[in-house]
Amino acid sequence: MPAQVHRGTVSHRAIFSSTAPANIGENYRWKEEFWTDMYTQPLIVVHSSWINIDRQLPETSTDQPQCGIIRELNLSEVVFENKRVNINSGLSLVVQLSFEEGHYIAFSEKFGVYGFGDDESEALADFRESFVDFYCDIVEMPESELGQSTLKYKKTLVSFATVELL
Amino acid sequence: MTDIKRDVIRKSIQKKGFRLKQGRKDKKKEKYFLYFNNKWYTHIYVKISRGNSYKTYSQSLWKRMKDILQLDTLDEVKQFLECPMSYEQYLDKLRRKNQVR
Repeated sequence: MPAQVHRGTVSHRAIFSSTAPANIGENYRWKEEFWTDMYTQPLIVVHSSWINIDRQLPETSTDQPQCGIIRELNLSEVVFENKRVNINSGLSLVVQLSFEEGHYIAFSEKFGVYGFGDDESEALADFRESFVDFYCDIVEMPESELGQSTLKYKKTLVSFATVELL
Repeated sequence: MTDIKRDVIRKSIQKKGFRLKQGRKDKKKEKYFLYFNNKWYTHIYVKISRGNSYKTYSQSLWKRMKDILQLDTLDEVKQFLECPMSYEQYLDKLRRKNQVR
């Protein structure tokens, strides 16, 4: 079995899990973007497009004393109204869902897009709207109107996902 | 870091060229986009909730705006939202990052 991430099922995070496939060798070099030093505890893999992280932030974190990551979602698509952004095969959009200072927050560290609300579903709905708008706004913007860094960002987005009208 | 009043954020962003855009109306939230040189920069925005529980924005909320606003530190976000950072200073940061022309 090739060592690759399957869309919508198992995330790269699973390499830290006791449930990681046994046939991935210890010396396999994962792409740098797949690494993080945050996830040192076993994860619970849910066979959908989600991965649950049933733990709190480390106690040593002084930045957000009242916060806790509820779970991390690995999305393979984001739908809002009549648009669906499909994350390219082998990749996923990692969204951290947390409860902080009385609010639920959904946040993509990769793109800096966020959504918030009074409950989980409101935060995720807000995130979906923001992400789809953000994606379409950048991708649809003519290149002549984009600054150099936004243009580079656009290329990253295009290689990450595609949009389709429903 | 402290909470920032929603009204302060609203006034501050409007002074920095952020405007509501027609066709982007939401009952629960106001979304302000950067408008500069007769162009909308819709990937640079601030979202403000109208809900009662959002009369002040705690750090956990406003710190999420850092990347979208193309700022580098939480201190800059705070200065941006509370107003000490001027319109010119903000545009200067965006120009240096090639975000606006």
